[in-house]
Amino acid sequence: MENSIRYKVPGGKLLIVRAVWDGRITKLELLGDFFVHPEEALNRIEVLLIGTKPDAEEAELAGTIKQFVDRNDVVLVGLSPEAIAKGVLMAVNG
Amino acid sequence: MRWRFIELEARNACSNMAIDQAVMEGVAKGASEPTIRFYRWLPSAVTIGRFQSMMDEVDVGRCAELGVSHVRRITGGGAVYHDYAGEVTYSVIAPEAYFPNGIRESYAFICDWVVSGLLGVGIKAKFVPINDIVTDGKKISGNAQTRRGGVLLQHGTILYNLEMAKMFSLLKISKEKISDKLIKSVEDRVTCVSRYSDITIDGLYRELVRAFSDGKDHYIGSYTEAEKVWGEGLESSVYGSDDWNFSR
Repeated sequence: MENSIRYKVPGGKLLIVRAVWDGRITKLELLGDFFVHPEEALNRIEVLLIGTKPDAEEAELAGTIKQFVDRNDVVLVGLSPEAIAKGVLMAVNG
Repeated sequence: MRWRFIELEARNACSNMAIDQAVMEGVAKGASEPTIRFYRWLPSAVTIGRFQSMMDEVDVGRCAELGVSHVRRITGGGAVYHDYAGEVTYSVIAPEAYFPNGIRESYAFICDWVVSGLLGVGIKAKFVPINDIVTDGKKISGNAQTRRGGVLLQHGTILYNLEMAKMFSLLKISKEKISDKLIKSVEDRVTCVSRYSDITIDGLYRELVRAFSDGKDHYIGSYTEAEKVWGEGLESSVYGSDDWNFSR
């Protein structure tokens, strides 16, 4: 299955999630007018989320993303681990 | 620290983005001096943010009909229509250590120079996080920043005149973005210098130079040969390529 959603991050920017899944996410794209420093980190976050199940816990998923962000000194502007987790689960449960 | 100022120039979209990156990489290597450049877009162009989809954001067919270029920026942020007669764009490229640490603080630091330039033409404006400068509640300048190799690049536009109909025909404006700001129309949230001042675009540029150079050791310079060669390479291999522009 595949789906695309648009989620306006509260106080932030627009996040578009395009996901393909079959029990687990097999392909994921995060798009929008947010900022990620360094920019290359976004691809790594997308890869990190491959394999996510649609019934994953949102808070747990956000925690996984936050851990990656903190460990790699990634700065998200207009976007957050929580927003990414919410958007991804919206996409695969929409 | 001494700044090199590059006087207002007009380049095509790919060249503008390529020379920004070439200078940034030059500063990172210690081969280029901290630089502030001012420029226009010839032909007019649409740029999209690093993480946007060209096909989602831009009517590329309409761009071709109107002779408008399209290119993906190195920086995040949103899609922008850069009209040749409608704006002055700047780039600030210098070691990160020169600026406040935080992303938002460094936006505010540089955007204050834009605010000062606008005040010089009689427009009271203010920086509104994340990356806008606003007057009368309407956006008059958008800005975007990246950092790599210990160097900060911030570029931004100062809207001089608005070609709303043309802009709307080129950009696919999202409904979410409009509704989030609790307004009914993009026209209600964007404005430009010419609505407040009779100053020419060259006059606006001169005020921006005054504001950006205030208190800085600086000189008017030109690009090095290495920057020109590297920039031309980036223009053809990166910014002129579909691989880059349609990567998302």
